[in-house]
Amino acid sequence: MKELRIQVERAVRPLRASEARKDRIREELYAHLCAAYEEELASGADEPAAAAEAGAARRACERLGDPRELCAALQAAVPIVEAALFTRVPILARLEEAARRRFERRRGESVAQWAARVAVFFFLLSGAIVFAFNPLLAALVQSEPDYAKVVACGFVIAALTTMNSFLLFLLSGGIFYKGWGAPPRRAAARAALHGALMAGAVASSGLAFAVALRGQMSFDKFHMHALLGAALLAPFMMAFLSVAIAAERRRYHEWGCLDLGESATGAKT
Amino acid sequence: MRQIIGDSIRGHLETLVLSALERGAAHGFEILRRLEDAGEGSLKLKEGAVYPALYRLEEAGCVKGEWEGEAGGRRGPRRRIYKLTPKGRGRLAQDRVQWRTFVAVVGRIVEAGA
Repeated sequence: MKELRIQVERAVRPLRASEARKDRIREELYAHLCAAYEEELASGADEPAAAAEAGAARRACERLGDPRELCAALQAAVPIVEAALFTRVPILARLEEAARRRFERRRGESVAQWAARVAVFFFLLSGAIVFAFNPLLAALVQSEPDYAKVVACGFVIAALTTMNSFLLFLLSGGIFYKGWGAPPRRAAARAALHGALMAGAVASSGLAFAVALRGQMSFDKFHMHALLGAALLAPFMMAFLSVAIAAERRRYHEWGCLDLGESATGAKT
Repeated sequence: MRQIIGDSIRGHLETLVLSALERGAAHGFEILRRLEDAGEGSLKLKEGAVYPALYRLEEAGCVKGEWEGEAGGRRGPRRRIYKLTPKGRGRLAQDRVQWRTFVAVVGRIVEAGA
C-alpha cells in the first residue's frame, strides 16, 4: 500500500547509510507495517471497506511511531564510518537527481528505445570529451601528430562507448523490466548469461580499437594479451553493472519516486 | 495496571529484545507481541523502536538475522527472522544480573521514605 510505503520512506530516505542497508530496513519496516495493517483491518471489520482500509493504514503508521524519531534511532544504529561515507553532498545529490530524470524510461518507451536514447547521450558526451582531449594529448606526446588518425580514433572510442552503453542499458532494462520478479538465482543467472553474450561485443570493441590505433602504436603480445584479458573480464563486469543498474531502477521505482510531502528534516522532498 | 511508556524503558530495550528471543527465533513483529504479552498490556512501545535495537544487537553479534524462505504460503513482503547467538545469551545473563542490582539499589532508595 502506498501510504505504508510513504511512512517507511519518511523514516529511511534521510538515513546516511549504504543503499543495501537502507533496502533491508525498508523491507523490514514495510513487512512490519503490513502485518500491523492486517491486524488493524481485522479489528475494524464493522466499518465500510474504504474507511476501514484508510483507518487501518493510519493506525498502523501511528503504531510504528514518528518517522523523524525513528530515523534518528536508525541513524544511531548505523556504523559511524558508513554514516560518514554516505553523507549526502547537496550538489552531488542534485546532479544525481538530474541524471536520474534524464535517464528515466518514459511512458510508452520500449526498453530498446530507452537504451538507444541513453546511448545517444553517451555518444555526445564521450565524443565531446574525446575530441577535446585527444588532439591535445597527441600534440603533447607526438612531435608530428596525425590529426586524421586522432579524429578517427576519437570516433571509434565514442562509437564503442555508445555501443557498450546501449548494450548495458538494454541488459539492465531487460533484467529490471522483464526479469526482476524472478527468483534471485534465476535473475543472477540471466544477468551472467547476458554478460557472457556481451563478451563478443567487447572483444569486437577491442579489435576495432586496435584497428583504429594501427599505425599509431605497435601491437605486440603484451597488447594482445591485455585485450584478451579485458575481453574475458568483460562478461563479469557487464553482468555486475547490469544487475547493479537494475537494482537501482527497482529501488527507485519502488521507493525513490514516492512523494513524501515533507522529509524527516521538514524540508520538501 | 499502569501503563509503562517507551521512554521509561529506553535503556533496557535491548535486554527486553534479548529476553523475547530467548523463547525462540522471531521477526520484529513477533518480538513485540511477546513483549506485550509478557507485559500483560502495560508495555506501550512505539513499534519502530524495536528495529534500531535489533540492528545494534546484530552489529554486536548478540543476534543473527536471516530472511525467511520464499515458501510458506504467506502473502506479503518477506520478514527477517532473528535468533539469539551464544554471545547474546551471555549478554542477557549479564544484563539480568545488572537489572537485579539496579532494582535492589534503586528500590531501596525510592522506597526508603515510603
